[in-house]
Amino acid sequence: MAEENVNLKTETRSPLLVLGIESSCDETAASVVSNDFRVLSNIVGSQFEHHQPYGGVVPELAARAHAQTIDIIVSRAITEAGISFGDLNAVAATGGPGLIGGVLVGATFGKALALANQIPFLAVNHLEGHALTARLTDQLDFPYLLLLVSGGHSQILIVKDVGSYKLLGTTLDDAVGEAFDKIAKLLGIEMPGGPNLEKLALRGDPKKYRFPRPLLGRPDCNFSLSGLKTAVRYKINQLCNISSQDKADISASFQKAVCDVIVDRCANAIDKCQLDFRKNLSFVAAGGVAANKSIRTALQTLSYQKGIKFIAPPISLCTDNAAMIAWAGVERFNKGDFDGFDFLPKPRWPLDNS
Amino acid sequence: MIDNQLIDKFPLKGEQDTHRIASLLSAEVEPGDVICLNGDLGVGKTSFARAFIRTLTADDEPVPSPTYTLIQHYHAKRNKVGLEIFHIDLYRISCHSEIEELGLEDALGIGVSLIEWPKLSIPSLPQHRLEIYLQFGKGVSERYMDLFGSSRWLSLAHSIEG
Repeated sequence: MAEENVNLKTETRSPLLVLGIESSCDETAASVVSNDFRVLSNIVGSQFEHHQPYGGVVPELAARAHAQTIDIIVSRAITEAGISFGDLNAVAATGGPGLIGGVLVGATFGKALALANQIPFLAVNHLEGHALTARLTDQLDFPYLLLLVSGGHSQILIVKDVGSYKLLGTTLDDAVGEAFDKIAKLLGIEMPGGPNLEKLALRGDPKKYRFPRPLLGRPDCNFSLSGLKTAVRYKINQLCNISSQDKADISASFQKAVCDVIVDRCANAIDKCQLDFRKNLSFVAAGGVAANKSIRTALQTLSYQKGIKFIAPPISLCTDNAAMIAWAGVERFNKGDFDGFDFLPKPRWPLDNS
Repeated sequence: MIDNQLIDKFPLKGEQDTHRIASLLSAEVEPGDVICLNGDLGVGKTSFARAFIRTLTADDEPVPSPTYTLIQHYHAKRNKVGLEIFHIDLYRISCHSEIEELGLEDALGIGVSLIEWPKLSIPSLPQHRLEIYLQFGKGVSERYMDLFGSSRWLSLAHSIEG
């Protein structure tokens, strides 16, 4: 615990209110969450534009963009929650991993706000935010198994406790959402590429092309999608004058290959958990790609076959958001695990500490 | 000698060739060097960068795609001397002003930078950079590689030929 927090107001009254700030990715976001599992507000910068479940398709990369909007978004989160700054018990901001410029903006803003209101500051790992969301939405007990799939991350983790994670597998090259976005680009599909590819796949034949399933059948839980991307690229090059039906067939066949890979990797993880814990852990899917219906259905089927409970938080809490940061802040507050105002943002910050 | 002339052109028959060239290149680079990786989606830019980074770190060093993170930083070692490597991907960048805010110029001063989709950063890059162009060949694992650069990179070309 940081020394300077000793004089801060850390006494808990009910309900505990935590402001979350997220600025490590393309979105600037703010949210107020209470310790009785209520999301009082959940503001994401891009929601003022069109909905982008996969995230990251319209980059707002510059720190300046975050700096220009963060005060408006935070004010809106407070107003929409129907509270004032004085009601907050803590401020949680993403402290990494991510683009250092964006993280600095959010973390510095969060520190200043906490200091001005004499309340604790919590620097939250962005991935921990995703990892703990199912406890906010479904009041899930530890431990549980987590598949985190987004534009920038593809990981399988055991969530053992707040601050305690075991990485079972990760992508060796491209993240799942990235693969969707890049194949969409190759097919000339409009942005946002991932969701539009999913729509196109609905009228395609998933068995038309037999694309490779990298790492399928291997005993580990890692992902590799770069070779699949290259194989799809070759198919597109081979078919001259590609028709809209070809595009739909390629989309469906690609999506099927990705589903098969994810299911195979997750099945290994579930088996490993059953061996290690000698009981069934619940299985949570989070991240923007968890919004994909084919993937969701495939994971539901897998969970059913394995006899375990499957949980996928609502899409607004799966894509990058600040409610998950605020909730992680609540969990850390409960443990008295605060950060000092001298916290330095971490561009690289793996969750696994086993 | 004129900067950025074609210094070599050769076929890659498979991953082994990619690894060999990445390894030769890793012996030539110095802090401040910039290697631009050009070519279409799926042609192997990241695979080349991965082979290069692993030569200077560890065979199993995780080298994920930097498309979403934009910059990945590696602390490498060569002959027991530290060497910073920045693996950069500007695929998602839409204008030059974003590059200024990424801290690209800081990275360029500190270590060796591998830049995928470098086009928008060209005004910020040093003249003596190496430009690698990858193209698809006939077979699934075949590629063509063109190297453009200043005389600074001629010895690399010779060692590849040799």
